[in-house]
Amino acid sequence: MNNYSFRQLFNNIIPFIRKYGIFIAPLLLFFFFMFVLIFSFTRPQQQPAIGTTTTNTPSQSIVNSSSSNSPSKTQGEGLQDDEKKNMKMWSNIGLSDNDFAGLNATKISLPDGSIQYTYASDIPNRPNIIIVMNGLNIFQRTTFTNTPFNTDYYGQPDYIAKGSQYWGTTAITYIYLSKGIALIGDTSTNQLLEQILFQHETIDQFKQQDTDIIEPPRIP
Amino acid sequence: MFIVHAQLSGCGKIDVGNPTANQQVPAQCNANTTNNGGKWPFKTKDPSTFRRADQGWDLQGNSPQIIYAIASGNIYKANNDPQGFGNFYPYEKLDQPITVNGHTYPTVYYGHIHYADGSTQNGIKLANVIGTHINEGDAIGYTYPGNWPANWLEIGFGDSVPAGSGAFPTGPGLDMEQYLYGKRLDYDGTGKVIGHY
Repeated sequence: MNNYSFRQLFNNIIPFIRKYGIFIAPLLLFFFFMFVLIFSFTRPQQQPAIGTTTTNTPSQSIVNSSSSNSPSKTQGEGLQDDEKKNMKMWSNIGLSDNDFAGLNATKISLPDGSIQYTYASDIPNRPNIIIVMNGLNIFQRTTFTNTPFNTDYYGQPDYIAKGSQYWGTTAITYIYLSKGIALIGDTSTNQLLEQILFQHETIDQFKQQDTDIIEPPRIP
Repeated sequence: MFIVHAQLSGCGKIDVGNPTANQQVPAQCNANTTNNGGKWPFKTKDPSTFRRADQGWDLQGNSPQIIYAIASGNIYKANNDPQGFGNFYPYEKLDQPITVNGHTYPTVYYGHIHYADGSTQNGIKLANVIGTHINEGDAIGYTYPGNWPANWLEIGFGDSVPAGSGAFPTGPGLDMEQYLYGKRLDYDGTGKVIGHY
């Protein structure tokens, strides 16, 4: 009886599909893709970004055994790509003499009332400089060593200046006015030579501070 | 005579500041392999490395940095965070929770770095620290030269999840400054540093 019903049903379906298959196939495809779409949106993430409390990710070699009592745990607290690229590098940090203790820094009062702290860096005859105005760090020049000249992170610079009176003709300065940072790198060695953090936002103000630039800054 | 005591990890307590002429610092306490006994994640404390306070406190070395534990505890690998702190950053469950301004924190994260994994970094052979107990001043990781802003560390309270949240600077971020540096830095020039908890 069951076999008969099944055979009868099968015999009816086959002609139906043959007759209307051209309409049914796209409909089935449509439902299939809709299912995949809905499934992908409702499925939980396997690799949680920072901010999730899941601890048993497959690549985790040590299971987080602590149930931290840290306050204010919320999701989505990690730095995302957009946030990093828009990040202002200069911070108006308040600094005073005590912050330079132990660095054997030289303190000079500049004509505009700011105070310049100069202390030895890892590069001979090229000290680090921090200028403080009204207690706030407004300019900072720091030498770098053993660090690649990576400009991808900051995106397109506002200005580029070729050459440096100190670093030579192969040096190039990438200036990011809105981020308050300039990177001086060596194009021949692809090494970061120096980093300048600054408060001001116009290129003319920057040129007054960074007096080592040889060629005028140009928009790339 | 001016004598202060500094606790060097695994080195015992030695006198510094005005030591006797024959005072010898043990080899394992050399500045190349510890943070000079200071409660500091970089080898040297330099205001040019200070960056903003957000969920934690950002520091940027002027060269690739070895990262040192700021307190004793057990080191664990944090959750993968490819768009943020990376996939290989550690956090530490402290032996003794740290209390700052009435807030108690049992864990510290070291974001944007790679945990010490048995490799040699900056000429220093680093032991694999994941799952191990470490002392204050022990090397526990190293910075990346270029993935984020070069040689970057965000140190803060929390584990895979920072304790700090909301508007920057967060209270826990400033608490980390206060714990490490002894004060909260002034980020707006008014002297009123507001930390959001």
